[in-house]
Amino acid sequence: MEIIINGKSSAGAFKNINDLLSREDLDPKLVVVELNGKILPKEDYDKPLRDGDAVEIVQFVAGG
Amino acid sequence: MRNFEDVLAAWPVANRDEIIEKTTRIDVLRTLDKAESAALSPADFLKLLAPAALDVLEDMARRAHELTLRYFGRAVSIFTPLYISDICTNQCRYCGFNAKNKQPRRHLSVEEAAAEAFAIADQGFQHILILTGDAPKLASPQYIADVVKRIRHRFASVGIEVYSLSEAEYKSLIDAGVDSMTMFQETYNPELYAWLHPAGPKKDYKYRLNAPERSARAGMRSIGVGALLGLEVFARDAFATGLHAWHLQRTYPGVEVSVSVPRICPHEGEFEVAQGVDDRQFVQYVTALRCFLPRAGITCSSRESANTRDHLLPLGVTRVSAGVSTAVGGRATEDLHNPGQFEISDNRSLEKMMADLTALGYQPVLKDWEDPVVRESAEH
Amino acid sequence: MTASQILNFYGKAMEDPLIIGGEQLSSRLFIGTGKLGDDALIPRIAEASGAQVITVAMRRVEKGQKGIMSHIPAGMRILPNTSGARNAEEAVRLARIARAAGCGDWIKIEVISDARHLLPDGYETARATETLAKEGFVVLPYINPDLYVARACVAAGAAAVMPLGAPIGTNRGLRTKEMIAILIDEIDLPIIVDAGLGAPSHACEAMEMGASACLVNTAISSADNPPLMGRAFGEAVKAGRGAFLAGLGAVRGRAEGAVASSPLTGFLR
Repeated sequence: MEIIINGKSSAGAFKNINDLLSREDLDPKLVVVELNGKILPKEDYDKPLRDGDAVEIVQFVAGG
Repeated sequence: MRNFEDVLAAWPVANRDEIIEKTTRIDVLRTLDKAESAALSPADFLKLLAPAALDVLEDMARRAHELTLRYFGRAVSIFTPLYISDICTNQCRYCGFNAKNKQPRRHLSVEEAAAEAFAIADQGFQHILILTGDAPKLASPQYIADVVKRIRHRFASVGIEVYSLSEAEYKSLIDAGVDSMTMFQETYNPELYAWLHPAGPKKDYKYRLNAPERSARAGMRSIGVGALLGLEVFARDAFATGLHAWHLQRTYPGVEVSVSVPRICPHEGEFEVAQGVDDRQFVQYVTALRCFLPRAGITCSSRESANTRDHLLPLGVTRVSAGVSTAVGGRATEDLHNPGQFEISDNRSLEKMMADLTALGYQPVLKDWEDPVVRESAEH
Repeated sequence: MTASQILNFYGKAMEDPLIIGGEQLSSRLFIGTGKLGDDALIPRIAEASGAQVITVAMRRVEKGQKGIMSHIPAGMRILPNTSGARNAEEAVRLARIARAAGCGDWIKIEVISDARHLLPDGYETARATETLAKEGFVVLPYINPDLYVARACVAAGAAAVMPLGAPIGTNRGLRTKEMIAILIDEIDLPIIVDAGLGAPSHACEAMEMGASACLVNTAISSADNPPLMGRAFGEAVKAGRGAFLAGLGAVRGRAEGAVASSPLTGFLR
């Protein structure tokens, strides 16, 4: 399967968002995920991803 | 959006009295220093109305003079009132039009009112203020609108000083050609107000209190407020008046806000002036208003003497009346020799007023605004 | 007296909290977290400055990159900004993402499409403010100190307005002083001076004028000793607030009775 993560296409067998985050070494509590342009509730992080899904992963960083 | 009723309610009289009592002349001088370069707060204004300010009246006058020059230069605008109906259903205890006063009454027809107005225009006036008594059935908004439509083309500005109207009624008068309104609350003390206005539609304190805002929402370009000095403890109504103008300026930044400073004078009837304002307090009032509201016009009527009015020009007054009669008719229509609404002290004609202003170093301004929209003339 | 108390006109202690979106703050210094070099300094700066509100930005994650939240002391009010947004729609999107992160509903609207001067776009900012205020956000728009833009933000439901003192990151001080003074006079919401304040004296000056708070980032983060500079700003903001409440404008050399004649009021005699 192929999905788009933060604008870059990525090939691999991603089960769901939790799986994706753990592979990227990211804490689900500290990020916000948009799936196909919509904010994904945390309880949906275990729903299966589909081929062609666009995922945005955003977190708080330093800023003024 | 908060209306003025709520803004005033945030200033209980007891709190105000406490600040006034604690104000020293040094507080007043500091406030005057602040006024040189910063906007004053309502609390600052209150200090300028304290008795302590009377000790430094010349300092008040100097700051007010400097601010007046800064914002208005040496221009003084001139208008004249036109009373078109003195039939009145109110019983305001201090007013010559009180329904209980037995005197011949007169309600001009639209054509008679127009004849009077044209006589005024022929004298050279460009700004006219239309006044009526409070008889909404006879001197109805429609009647006022008809008069305004009939005379509009002869004047740069037509103002009204009539009973409180609804927003829709203000809108209809604006459509007819009115661009400014004046509304005297008389007093901002609701209990005193109730006593002073025992009968008639004017009894409704809050309806009157919020009338200037209704006119602002209707799109009125210029709004004047004022208390009738002499009814309530000086500083209380003086403060409320300034706060009212301040609130209107802040809430309706497109409106040109002005303050009138009428001081009660004897009328036909018997009314005892309970809280007479002497000349020093009167100067304190005008100069405090100027410091608090540097951009607001201040109107001084012919209730005041020529001498007082002349001396108030450097202190903040920017608008005066001339050629005044407070009775209905007499210019182009029959003169009933009525006593009028109140006795005037300054009888100067337009010509004399202009000559006197010029001699004092001021520029008389007959027209400081004109509606850029070309209106259809109602003259046939 | 507690930290948020001051002495009133009559010498009594009184609370002087800053209230934004219904929340009471005792510190009037907001701090940023940008350009520090070492995010581990954040807790030390926060403690030294006394700040209770701290700004953060939002970005796409990079692999293995740690966010900033682990460095922010518990209990601080997080003020996410929408930096990176070039129009109202992008700002709204970022604000919704920020709220989904679960750190409250405050948002600093920052809409910038001019990369050279980094000046905020007032029109887009007011539009974003309107949308987000309706969604229940506590909206703090970052604006040029323009009266009309500020009024549009008030009408749109902002909780405070944040005018810039100078172009962002310049440390040039209160270059927009006259315009900010007008906002302080005319706008009934808290005025928080944001951007451009380069020295504690600048922040103090803004507070003396009657600003409700200051937001400082670059001046602290670019100091040789950021925690010490944070403390200096905290003290400056307090000093300025005290001076404002005390009432500036001492009588300058006005000798009592120095003017014998009364040219303007002589007619009263």
